[in-house]
Amino acid sequence: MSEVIVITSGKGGVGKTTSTANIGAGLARLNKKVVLVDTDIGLRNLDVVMGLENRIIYNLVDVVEGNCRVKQALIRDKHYPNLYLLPSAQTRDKSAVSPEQMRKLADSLAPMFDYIILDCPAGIEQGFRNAIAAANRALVVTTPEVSAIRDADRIIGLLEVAGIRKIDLLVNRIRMDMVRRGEMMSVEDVLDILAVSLIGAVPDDEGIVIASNHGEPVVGNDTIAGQAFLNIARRLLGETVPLADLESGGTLLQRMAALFRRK
Amino acid sequence: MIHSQGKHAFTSGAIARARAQVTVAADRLSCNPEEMRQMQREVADVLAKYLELDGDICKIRLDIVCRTDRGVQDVKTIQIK
Repeated sequence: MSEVIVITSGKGGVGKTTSTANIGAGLARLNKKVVLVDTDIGLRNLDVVMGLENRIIYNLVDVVEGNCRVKQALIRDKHYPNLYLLPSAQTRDKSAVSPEQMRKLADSLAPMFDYIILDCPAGIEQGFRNAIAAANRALVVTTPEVSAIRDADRIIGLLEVAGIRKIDLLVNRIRMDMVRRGEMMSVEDVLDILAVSLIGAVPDDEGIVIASNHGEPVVGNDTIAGQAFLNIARRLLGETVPLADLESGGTLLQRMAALFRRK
Repeated sequence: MIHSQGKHAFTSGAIARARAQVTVAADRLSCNPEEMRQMQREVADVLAKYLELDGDICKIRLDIVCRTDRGVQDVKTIQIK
C-alpha cells in the first residue's frame, strides 16, 4: 500500500518545492520507489529544481485528459533510478484538473510506487484543494517567521477539516546562530504555537542554493541541510532519528567538514 | 523557549513569538483587532459598574491564549491585567 504525502505551506517561498525534491531523493536513497507530482499547474517549478526541465514530453494535464498513458509522462531522475517526476503543465491553469481527477491519478500511480509525494502550490484555492484531495498524509512546511506560521496554522486547520489525520511540521530555514542570539524563533517556539508533531528542522544552508543552481538535490552530499532532509526521509519511514545534532549546527564531523568547505 | 523569556525578553525573536501567538489565536477564534478593542471597552464598562475605577489609571490588557491539540477542542483563556 503506497503512502500519498502532500507537501504544503499556504505561504509561498518557504521551501515546498525544495523540500519535495529532497525528501523524494532521500526516500529514493533509502531504496523506496518514489514519484514526485508537481501539482502547481501553470507555474512549473519542481522539474527545474530537479534538473529535469529538458526531458519533459507529457505532463499532468495530459495524463488527466487522457492524451497519454501515465507511464509515458513519468520522467526518471538523473541520480536515482527509482525516483520519478510527473511534471505539471506550464500553459494551463488550476481549473484544468479537479480533486476527483487527482484522486484517480494517485490511484493509478499507487500500484507502481511506495511513496507518492505531491508538491502543493501556495495558497488555499483550487490548486491546494486538488493536491490535498488525494493525500493521506501531510507535511506542512514553515519558516520561523510570523507570516509563515500564521499561514501554516490556517493550513493545518484546513487539512484537519479535509480529514487528513497525519500532519507533521517541517521547520525550514532555521538559523541556529540567530536563534542563539534571540533574533529568531526557535523550533520549540514554532512547535509551541502550532501544536503539531515535528518531522524535522532544516537549517538555512547555502548548500541548498548551490545544489538547486545545479538542479540537484542536497540529499546525499555532506551539507547540514542534506543530512536534515535525509533524516526527515528516515522519519517518514518510521525510524526514530534524534533531532539534537542538527539543531546544534550538525555533528562535530559535519561542522568541521563545513569549515573546510568554506575555505 | 529559554531565549524568549528572561534575559532575552525583548529580542526580536521574542517579539516575533508573541506576535505569532496573538495572530494565530486571533485567527483560530476569528476575532479581528476591532472586535478585540470593542471587547476591551465592554470589559472596562463591566468592571466600572462594580468597582470605582479611574479610566486613566486603569489599563486593561487582554491576552488571549488559545491552545489546540489535534482532535481536542480549543481552550480559551482570557487574562485581564
